[in-house]
Amino acid sequence: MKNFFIQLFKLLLICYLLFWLLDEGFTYVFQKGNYTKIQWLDKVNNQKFDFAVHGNSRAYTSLDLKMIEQQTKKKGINISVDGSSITDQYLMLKLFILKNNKIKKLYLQIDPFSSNTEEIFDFAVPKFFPYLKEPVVFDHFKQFGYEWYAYRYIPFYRYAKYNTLWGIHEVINDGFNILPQDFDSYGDFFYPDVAYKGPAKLRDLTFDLKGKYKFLNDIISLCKANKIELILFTAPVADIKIDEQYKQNIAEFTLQMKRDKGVEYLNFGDIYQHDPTFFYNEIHINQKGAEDFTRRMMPVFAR
Amino acid sequence: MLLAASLFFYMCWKWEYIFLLFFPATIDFFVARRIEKTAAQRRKKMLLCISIITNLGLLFYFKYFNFFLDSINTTSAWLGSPLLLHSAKILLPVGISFYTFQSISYTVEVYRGNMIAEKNFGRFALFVSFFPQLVAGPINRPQVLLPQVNNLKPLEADNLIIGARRILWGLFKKVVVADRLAFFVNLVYNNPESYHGLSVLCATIFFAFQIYCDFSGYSDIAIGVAKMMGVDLMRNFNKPYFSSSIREFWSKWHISLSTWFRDYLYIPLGGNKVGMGRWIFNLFITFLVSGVWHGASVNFIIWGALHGLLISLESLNQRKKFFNFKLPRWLGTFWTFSAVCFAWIFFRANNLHDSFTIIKNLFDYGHSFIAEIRQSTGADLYNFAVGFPLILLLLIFEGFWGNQRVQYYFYAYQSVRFLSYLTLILLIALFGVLVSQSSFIYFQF
Repeated sequence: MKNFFIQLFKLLLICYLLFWLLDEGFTYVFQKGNYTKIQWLDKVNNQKFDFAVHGNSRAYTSLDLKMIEQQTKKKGINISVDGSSITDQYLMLKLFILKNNKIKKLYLQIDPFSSNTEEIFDFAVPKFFPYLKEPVVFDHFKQFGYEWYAYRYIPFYRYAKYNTLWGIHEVINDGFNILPQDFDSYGDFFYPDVAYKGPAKLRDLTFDLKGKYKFLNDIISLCKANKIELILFTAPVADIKIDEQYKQNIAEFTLQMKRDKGVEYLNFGDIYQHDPTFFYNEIHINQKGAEDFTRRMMPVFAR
Repeated sequence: MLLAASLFFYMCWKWEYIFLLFFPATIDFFVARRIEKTAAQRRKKMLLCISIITNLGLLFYFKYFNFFLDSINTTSAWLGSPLLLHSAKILLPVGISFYTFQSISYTVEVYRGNMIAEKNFGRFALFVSFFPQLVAGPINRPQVLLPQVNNLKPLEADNLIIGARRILWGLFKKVVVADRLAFFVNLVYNNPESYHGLSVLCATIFFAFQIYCDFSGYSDIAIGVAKMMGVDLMRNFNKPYFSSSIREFWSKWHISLSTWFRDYLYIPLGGNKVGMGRWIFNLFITFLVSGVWHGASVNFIIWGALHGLLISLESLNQRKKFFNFKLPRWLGTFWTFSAVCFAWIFFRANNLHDSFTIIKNLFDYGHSFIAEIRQSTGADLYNFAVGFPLILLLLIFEGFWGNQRVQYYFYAYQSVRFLSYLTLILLIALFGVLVSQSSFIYFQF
């Protein structure tokens, strides 16, 4: 029995060393990589921008920054990450500023259904894994549960658990730069113009007027501390139930933001009503929609 | 202690259902003791019937009652006078098909005089509820398991090593192969209209390996856990896809269930010691019942009937020599694997309509395979791409394990053993599906 435990200890020790080595190796390659939006943003250092667009996939896919630059001569960057919630968006902005990047204006896309959340969406959990050992990143995530300690301190656990995303294939991809990024040099991505038939059902999409908006407030504070002018906006949605209650809610939220936080809020959520031609699906506009929406927002960027 | 652990294990799922486990066990315990004490054959038979009816009655109610009502509704509607019988809200107790069968085998064996009835209820309860094999088998024979639970050995290093090794191998099969293949299988089988030709063929082959690795992986884990406690459970799989006939396949697939049906259904029906017609009927009915055992749906019945038909034809040919030539082994293996895969379509498809859509689309090669695969993006594409290499890896591992020289090096050199363990652990870490909450397929039965 003693021999058994000695052998078991040896095996566990070898496993620990093996996974520690793999963890270091994978982290090194992933941090060098440039494939995902977060990897790409990690390489943006010491730059100045007139504006940045931020948010989740609805900001990632809605605005054509190249067109804005051509028409307004203002240099912009899209730092939005698809699948992110406002919690990760706060971290992303913080990291972007910590890398000594300067922004004059930040256009933050917010939604009634997610801007008050204090959780991370499952989809976004692994996005920051290669950077989890950085104190700023870990300090942010550790508030979301004990599992983050396991991700941080058990070698390779995070990559093993999410090996579909951060697996050996991604090591090869990042190591040899095989696949091109699916976003352009501004950080924009556009959905194709597919045959979307329109929403099957309309939703009540209203802001919680009594909500705490913890991470939105953190973003507001971060912007104030770094002298960034913050403008909030909502990109078009196909399945909003546009009624009196909705209109009142938007008006009250706009007023509340201006009055209590000193932040401008612009609602474009209902501009296309339920017209399917501008949409890829219920909450994402297609390329045609992005072009049209960029034109409609141009005066805001030109200010 | 082990009984308490087993009961706790079962109660973790739904504590109320522990009574369902105990109810037939209590009846079987007393019935078996009474059978032993009774001399009159007729009375013995009556007692055995009580045990069988109790177990099968429970199984019928929990597993088949709603299907029965649905069938009455469908038939009555078809006959023009629809009865709208409302189905009951019944949650299928996990493992009921397994522990009821194990319990039945006990009373039958006592009835046949092949073993003496257990005197201690605690030990008998442990035999029925022994946690490694409680929810999905292997269905062990009382003559083998009862003496072992009656005489539990202290922990031994050798058993711990052998058991842990088996668990590791089972985990590899389950989380690396089965769960990875499941993604593409689910993609195709949940959208049967959208996939054709090669896509459907790949998904069906993937399912064949998914279900094998899922179920045999579970069996390996169960056998490994029991081994660590010094209990030897029966082998449940023996490289079934290398079989060159359906008969051979069934001697290597879910061995504990197929031998159960052989011993407690096929042989009591007369087995092959009867006329030709009756023999074929016995074979067919055994497989049909095996299909029904798997689940209350037409698909499982067809799956069982297909196997019954294939094995009947094979047996008929064996006796009558309609085709008097012997297929080369590789061709026999290819044919058997193809036939088994075809039957799996009914097993996996969500309903009968989907089964026929999949069969229709399987022979439709007018669509671009690449275009269909490219419909899937990101993770789906990755899961498809690693599917065949993982199957190949499994076959290589299983093939190599049969080689005596490989076994010699494995047992003779500790470094070889360590390297094997590390390879499996590494494969689990790199390719295992560790994020989704996927259960074992056979838990539903």
